[in-house]
Amino acid sequence: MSVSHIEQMNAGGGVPLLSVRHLRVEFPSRRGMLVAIDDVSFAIARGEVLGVVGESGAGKSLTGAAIIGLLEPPGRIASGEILLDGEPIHALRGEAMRRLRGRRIAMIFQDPLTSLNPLYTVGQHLVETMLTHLELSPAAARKRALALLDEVGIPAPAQRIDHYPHQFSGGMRQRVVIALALCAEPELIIADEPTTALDVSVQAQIIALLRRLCRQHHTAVMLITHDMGVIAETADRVAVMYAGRLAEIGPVAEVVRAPAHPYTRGLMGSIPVLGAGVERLVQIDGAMPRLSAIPSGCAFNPRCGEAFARCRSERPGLMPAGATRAACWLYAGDCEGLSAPARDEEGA
Amino acid sequence: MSSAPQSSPSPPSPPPGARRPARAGTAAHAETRPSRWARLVDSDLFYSFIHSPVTVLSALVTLVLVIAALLAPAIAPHNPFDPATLNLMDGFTRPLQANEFTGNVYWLGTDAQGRDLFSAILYGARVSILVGFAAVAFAALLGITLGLIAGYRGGWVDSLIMRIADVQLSFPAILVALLIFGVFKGVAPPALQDRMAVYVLVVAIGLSDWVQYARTVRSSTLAEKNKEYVQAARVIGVPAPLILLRHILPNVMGPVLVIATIGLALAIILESTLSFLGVGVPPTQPSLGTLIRVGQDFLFSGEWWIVFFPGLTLLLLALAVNLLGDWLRDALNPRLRR
Amino acid sequence: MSIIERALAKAKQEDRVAVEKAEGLAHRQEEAGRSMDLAGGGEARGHEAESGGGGDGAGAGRSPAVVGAGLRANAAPVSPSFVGETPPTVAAPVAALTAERAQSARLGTALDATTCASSGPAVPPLLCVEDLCCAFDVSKPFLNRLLEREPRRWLKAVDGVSFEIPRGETFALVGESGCGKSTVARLIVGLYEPSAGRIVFDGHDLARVTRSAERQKLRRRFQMIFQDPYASLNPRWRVERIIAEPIRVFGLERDERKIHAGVAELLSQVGMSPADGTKYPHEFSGGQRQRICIARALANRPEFLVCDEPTSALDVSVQAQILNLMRDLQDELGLTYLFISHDLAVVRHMANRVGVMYLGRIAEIADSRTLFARPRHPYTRMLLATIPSLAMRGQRADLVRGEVPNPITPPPGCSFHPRCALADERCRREAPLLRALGGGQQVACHAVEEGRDHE
Repeated sequence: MSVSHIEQMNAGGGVPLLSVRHLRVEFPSRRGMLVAIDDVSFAIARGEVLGVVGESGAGKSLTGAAIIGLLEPPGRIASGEILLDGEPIHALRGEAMRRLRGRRIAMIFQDPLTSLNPLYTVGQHLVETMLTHLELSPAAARKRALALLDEVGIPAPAQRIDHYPHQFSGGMRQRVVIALALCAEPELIIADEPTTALDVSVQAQIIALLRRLCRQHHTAVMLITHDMGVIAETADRVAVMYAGRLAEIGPVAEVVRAPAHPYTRGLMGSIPVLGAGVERLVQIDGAMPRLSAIPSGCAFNPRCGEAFARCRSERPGLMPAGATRAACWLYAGDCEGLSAPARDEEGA
Repeated sequence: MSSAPQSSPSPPSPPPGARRPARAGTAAHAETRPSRWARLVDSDLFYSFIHSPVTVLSALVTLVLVIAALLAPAIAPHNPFDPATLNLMDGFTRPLQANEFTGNVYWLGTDAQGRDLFSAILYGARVSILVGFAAVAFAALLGITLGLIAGYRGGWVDSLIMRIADVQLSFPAILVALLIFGVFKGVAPPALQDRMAVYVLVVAIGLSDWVQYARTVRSSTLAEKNKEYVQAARVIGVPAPLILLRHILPNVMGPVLVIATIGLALAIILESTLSFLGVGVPPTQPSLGTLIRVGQDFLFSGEWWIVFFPGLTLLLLALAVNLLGDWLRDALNPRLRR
Repeated sequence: MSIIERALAKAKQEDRVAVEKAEGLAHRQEEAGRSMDLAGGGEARGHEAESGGGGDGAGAGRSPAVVGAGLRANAAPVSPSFVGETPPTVAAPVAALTAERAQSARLGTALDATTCASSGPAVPPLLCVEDLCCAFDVSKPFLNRLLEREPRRWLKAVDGVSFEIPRGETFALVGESGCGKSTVARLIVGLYEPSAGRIVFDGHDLARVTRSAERQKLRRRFQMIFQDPYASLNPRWRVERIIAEPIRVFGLERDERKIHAGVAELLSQVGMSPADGTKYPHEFSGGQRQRICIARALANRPEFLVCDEPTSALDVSVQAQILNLMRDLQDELGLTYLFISHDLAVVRHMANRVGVMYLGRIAEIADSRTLFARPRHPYTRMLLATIPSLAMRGQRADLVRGEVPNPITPPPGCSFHPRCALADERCRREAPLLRALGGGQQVACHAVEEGRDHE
């Protein structure tokens, strides 16, 4: 599947904001080279929310880290390209990357307590970031900081701007982190599990806030999470990752209602749903393979109830499967006698 | 495996009580497990050991010295403390040179009384190492026990033990040892002094050093006692001493090993210091410290080897054990592991 | 109230229980019957409450209770009697709360909590928790308090929780962080000591069982599964030793070969291979470790399992495996579960009855179908509104407000009032008590009681 096709499908013409092409991230270890991300390609259009969902070990956080240049050595980008607005950024080092980070791509981490420096007030965080990336005077930066705090829903921003992070509750801290991410007007925000450490009621508020603000500021979001419900509520498109590869990618309504890839189907079936009243949850036997023991062919084949010979020998690329695209041989056009045609009808 | 998409009706559930099929993923270990040795060699610890030349060298030096010292009665050419074998005429022989009177050649020369320095060093190292190990064992036993109790009980017991430890730490180790020794010398009858001296020395060195074991074990215990496996044991009613012994102790031993290794070097040095000052081992069982003390009188009159070789041995031993302890600490630290 | 009076009161209470059990009288009708008695039984209850509230709170003495038993065949339980019995060993705040309850009980308006002595039909529930309280001392060190003249501070993790679990069912406790559900779990298994209240396991009041042999006999009948599969297993022990520990501790089996066989059978019962017994925990994934924890929990053949968020640390697909396994085991072995979770969808899948907790108190109890179909308490409604779904995209922002406050300084009155759209003056002053609404549903909310919740 050619990369330009992906980009056309996604951006509707024009250059997509972020384009990841055949990304491969490796970790040399004494047992050989471990491939953590293996030939992953996708694109994010301006202002769109792409959800990247997968279980632990699937490589979704690493993808975000690779894009923003925060891969921990000895991990490195072995091959592939990352293009921001058409310009390659995967090879940037040092000062060039620092200028990019925060200004054009911002990141939100999982734990709001450790994302903020406990020795600086919230106002100092915001003002420092703005002064670094924007051409503002300190007074103007502070005014903007106040406006941002108000926008993210911090009550009494004029007093709270001089408070330290430990004086905020968990949900408030995450709002501050979102404000920090937005303050330099980035084009893309990578949010790595932003709501996992929060209570459910706070989660709902933070998700709604993120959606609203990114729509208003026309910022694209790459939302990395393991929670399919968060994706269903927030994202426009979703990419499902498994063992460092893309299993399925498509519009969120389609993927949730009629998932094509057997792994996605298993995932959706394992989530207990209110009102479904099933006796037994769908379970996928086994566990995600370790990086040192990824099966040949399709990585999911040992756990897949519909695997056949080709799945064990050849690795499938992303191919159209109804309204989404799935990396599964069931949807290869030349499969004979299998359920692929029926699935297209269902999923269409 | 049922994998119906959301739009179609869910498959019928298996009847209640049906056995779950054996899983492919978990039944994969039908083959034999590798032997213990193979697993040890393959482990991360061994890997980091083999790839650090300094550590391998230190380990070799330590091993050689310890074995040589323990086997001293067997491998020493002479027994330097048997007066019958001594020949005063052998005194002050230079290393590897024939004595002008007797024609004997000694590897490391002889001291004032004609004792072969090589043998003397072997015996002396033996005393030093034995005292060092014993002192470390005593300190570890005392410190671990107090640390476990303080960490698990908390409250006033914890405060009491830690305050005692703090008081102890405010005294230098040598002072504590000297104090204990002084009391012993004043109290014990002279006939027993020589025989008991080694034991009292062990106790003295041990008592000066137990605090760091107690502190480390206490903080590890505080962390472990809130973990769920300890709570699971409490739920089924395992009594506290058994929990400490069987559950918590194995999990807090890691840092203790590091402290013990470095503590061994310190104990040997402390013992040598005490012997050097004249309050350590009795003259009938000289250790490296005693040899150094005796030898330093001759340093500036030309017989340099009498102090040099014992000093060098002490240096090598302490250095090697210290380096080994450094490696162990870094290797066992999960944060540094890549 | 002196110790002697308290002891007398307890003795009277037990006598009454014994008499009632012997006569096979049903004290608490099914909930439909009880709600009918809101009108009819009020007099009998009021009479009782007055005599009971006469200061000794001793359960209305013996004779009136027995006389009243005939009247009360269909009536509500004698709840106010236990209010005054809580021993005054706890700090002021708890005593104040119980005094407040005694007050409203005397006014005859409270229709409330479970009482373990007289609940249900002839078969007593396996577990009955009554007015459970647990307060932790979070005051500053003594010297600081002396110098800064600060009073002692208490964290009321659990503040008057009552529920019961019939045999063979799954009861779930749901809530967010700081609500005290994990504390309740640990109180029940004995890891913490309650400051007040009773825990009655199969008719035995756990606080009264002090001799270690008797305690061990009771302990054998329940077990606990913890949240973190990585910290629940001793990393230095082999799996076989871990699973065999309860067998050895309770002395269920002495022969080593039989123990080994028993461990192998447990491992295959949870879907693992018996050869896994020789390995160490770090060689397993999170889901497999949780299976080992379940095997260990089953080793002493318990009847009752307390599960503290057993799947919260696991991936979704592994969670499905573990939940299916737990349900299968419940069917096979007839287990009773107390299931603690913060995930409402999981709770809906697993539980028969659900209790929603907020800041140490129960907001609502109902069976799970009713709770999810017709939630009454505003907090339950808010929680249900947070479950994300495709259908509700973008429509939810205003339904959820505020954050859980600091449990050390909870809001006065009803602790939910700062976040509640229906809060009024009474909510700010007075904490609501749990009231039965019919159909098995109990809600602690003034707005619901006054009919202000528009349903």
